[in-house]
Amino acid sequence: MSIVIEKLTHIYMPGTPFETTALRSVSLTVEDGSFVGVIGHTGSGKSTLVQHMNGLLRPTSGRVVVEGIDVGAKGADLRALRQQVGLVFQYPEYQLFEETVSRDVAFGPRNLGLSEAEVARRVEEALSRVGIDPGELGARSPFELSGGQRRRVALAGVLAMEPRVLILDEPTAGLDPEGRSDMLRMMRELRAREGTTILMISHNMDEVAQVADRVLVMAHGEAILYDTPANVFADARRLSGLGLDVPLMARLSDALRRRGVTVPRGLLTLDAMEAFILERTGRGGRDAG
Amino acid sequence: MAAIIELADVHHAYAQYRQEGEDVVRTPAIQGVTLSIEEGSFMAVVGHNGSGKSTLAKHMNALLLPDRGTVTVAGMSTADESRLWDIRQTVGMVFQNPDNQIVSSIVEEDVAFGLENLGVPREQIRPRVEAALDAVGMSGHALKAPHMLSGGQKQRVAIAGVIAMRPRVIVFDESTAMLDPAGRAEVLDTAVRLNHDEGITVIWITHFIEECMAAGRVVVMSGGTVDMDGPPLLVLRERATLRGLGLTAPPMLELSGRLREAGVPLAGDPSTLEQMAEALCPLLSKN
Amino acid sequence: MLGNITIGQYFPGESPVHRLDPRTKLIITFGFIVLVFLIRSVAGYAAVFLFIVATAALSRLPVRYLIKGLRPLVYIMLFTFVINLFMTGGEPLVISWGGRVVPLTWRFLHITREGVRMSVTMVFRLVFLILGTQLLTLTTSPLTMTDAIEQLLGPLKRIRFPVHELAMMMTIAMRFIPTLLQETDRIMKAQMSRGADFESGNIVRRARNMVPLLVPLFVSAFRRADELALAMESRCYRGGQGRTRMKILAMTRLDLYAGIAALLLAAAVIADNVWGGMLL
Repeated sequence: MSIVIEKLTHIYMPGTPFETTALRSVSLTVEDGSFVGVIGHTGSGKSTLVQHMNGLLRPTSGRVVVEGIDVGAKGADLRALRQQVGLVFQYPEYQLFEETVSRDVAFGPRNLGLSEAEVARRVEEALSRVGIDPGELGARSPFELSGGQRRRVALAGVLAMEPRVLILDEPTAGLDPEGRSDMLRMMRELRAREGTTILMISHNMDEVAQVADRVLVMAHGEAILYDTPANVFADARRLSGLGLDVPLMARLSDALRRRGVTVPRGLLTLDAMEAFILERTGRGGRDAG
Repeated sequence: MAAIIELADVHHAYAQYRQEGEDVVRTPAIQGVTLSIEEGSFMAVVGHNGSGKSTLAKHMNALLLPDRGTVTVAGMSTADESRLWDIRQTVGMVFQNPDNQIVSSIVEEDVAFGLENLGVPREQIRPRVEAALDAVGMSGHALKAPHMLSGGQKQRVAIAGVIAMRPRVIVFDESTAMLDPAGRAEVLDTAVRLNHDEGITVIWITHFIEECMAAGRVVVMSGGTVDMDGPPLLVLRERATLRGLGLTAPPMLELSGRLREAGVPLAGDPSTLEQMAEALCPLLSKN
Repeated sequence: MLGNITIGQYFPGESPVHRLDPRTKLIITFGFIVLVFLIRSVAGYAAVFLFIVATAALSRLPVRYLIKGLRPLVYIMLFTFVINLFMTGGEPLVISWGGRVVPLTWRFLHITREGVRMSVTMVFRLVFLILGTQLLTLTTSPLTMTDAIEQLLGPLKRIRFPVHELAMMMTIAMRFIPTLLQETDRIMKAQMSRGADFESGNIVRRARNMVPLLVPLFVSAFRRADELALAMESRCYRGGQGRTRMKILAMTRLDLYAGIAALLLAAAVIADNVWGGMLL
């Protein structure tokens, strides 16, 4: 068990006219190595929730235990916690500050007090992992790079901490389609190769359907649903009541069902839909479905 | 209808100053674009980052001037400095980042900003501001602070600020790139409505290819040139050509293309979700 | 984190104080600041205190909120108190201690009668200053305040003082303060997630630790400025020349009453200074 949250409540600015309850008694468990898509409307509490997972926020009440560290406990080792849990904020490219790409990526590992050799190894590895050639771009100023490249450098800056859990807040926002699919591919690879637990906040249901094996739905500070994508997206009416969408192919499945066609649950991506249709019309292979 | 904007062989390159100071590298952003945009039309320009689409947009209200070639807006050349303010009043711009184009900390005051700049008499400002907020469905937010609004709402405030100036053209320069899907839909719907109801010419710059389905004409750019130009259903069906430009067709067109290639006899020309369901229904319920 | 900063943040309302013309409020606040430094007697302090209480009551702001605004400045007040208490010259105070008379003096530190008086009055002055300016900023929207400043400084245009530009800069600054605060908060958290430490170490170290926060913040502020300039240009902004305004400030009967009340207070304090007794 990677992350255990029990009855977590968080209140911002208590005792002022701006007091808001951002989280209300949220409980959930994230298993090791899972890929969780976190969806919910702006202000639903998603960001507040994930900021508890690396100790940037402390519970007003309830418990958050990550990799054995109790975040709310007095004297909790936040340094150790932040090494375990990497948090990539929205538009992370705007947090770059160093003179060169390599030095920026080295910032995290240096703060961990690692040896120079180890720092260099991690920088090299993190950069290659996000598809940036350390030899070619490592010595360049991050401000000279394109937007998409800068975002990858920022991601490398977190990967260089070698976290067990990686949390990303809308990692594809503002990217063009190529940048988006690159980002999704990198996350999938990371999970396959390192077994990293990944939580991805996203507004894009098609992306969530592509990568996640669990979906957490937040609304009004509560965890409403926490299930497989097939089950979560099967309840289109409930989601749209919360101002949320379902993947396009789930909507197509619904439109077909309304016309009396039997469509299996969980056809959430274009590839899956294509395979299903080909199989049904007798043109697909056995791998369809 | 007559053309409201004409671009003739427009070239533009950005000067880049490397550290050495003296050697200026000129990176070409658009190279020989010729387009004629009809008044009242809805034209989408799609392409990758770096395809030159935003540079093109900034030529349409003289924020940039061509290195070579000409841009004419309602008969005025953008190179004619004496007509600069007329051109900018004729062609309004909505930019990418909703945060960085709102001037005032109160919505209605921001919408009034352009009118104040034009020197519109005071008694006319308020009714025009109210009408503009109404047109984008933001009347209920007139006294709010921008930072309390969602991204889509901020963009609609920016649109209100533009339409209060009564432009004939609005250029949306990737105005949905930073929004969530709900915000994107809000802003696109607003643009479609303004085009339809008020007859405002819309130039919609985007990297989301599915947004082009709302347009009457699609221009695909890459490497600073126009590669494809025509009605969306014709242009966006060219899956191989699009792939060559690093783009993917909108999902329903992609799906129907793939199915056709596999020999599935799809009836009609499904391009929307409902049409697709309609076309698939007889094929899937047979057995 | 930074979202907790609320001092002086406009608190929307419809009270008489909210509805006053911002020019009236600005002038009264200005006069009030001068007046606070003129007070010499307990009666004067009482008068100013009454004025503040009356205004606060009329403004219908939560008392808790007003007092909360004092909290961040407690250290400055303490510092002022201590400095004045020990550093004011004069005859040291004496107290009796177990039948003995002990002067309150230790090495170079002496507590004198003048010191006590000085430190108490300074703290009162600070409290009045903070409450007074807070009442102004809490009841006046930033934009009407900018308008008021632009109008009050209007005469300076004759000597080519860039009044419009100054007002526009203030407007934009106020518009972007919340945005930049949100951004600061985000960058700070992002760097903390990479192990940055903004809270410990000596001054030099702390200053150096701020680099990962300040560089991105500056870069972002410049980028925003760039984009905003482009947006303003495309909305035909070309300086103050030929601009009209949607809103104009107008004084009402309320402003007259407020002016009279403020003048009465000033008259009372000055009269007390000239003819009143030196009670303290």
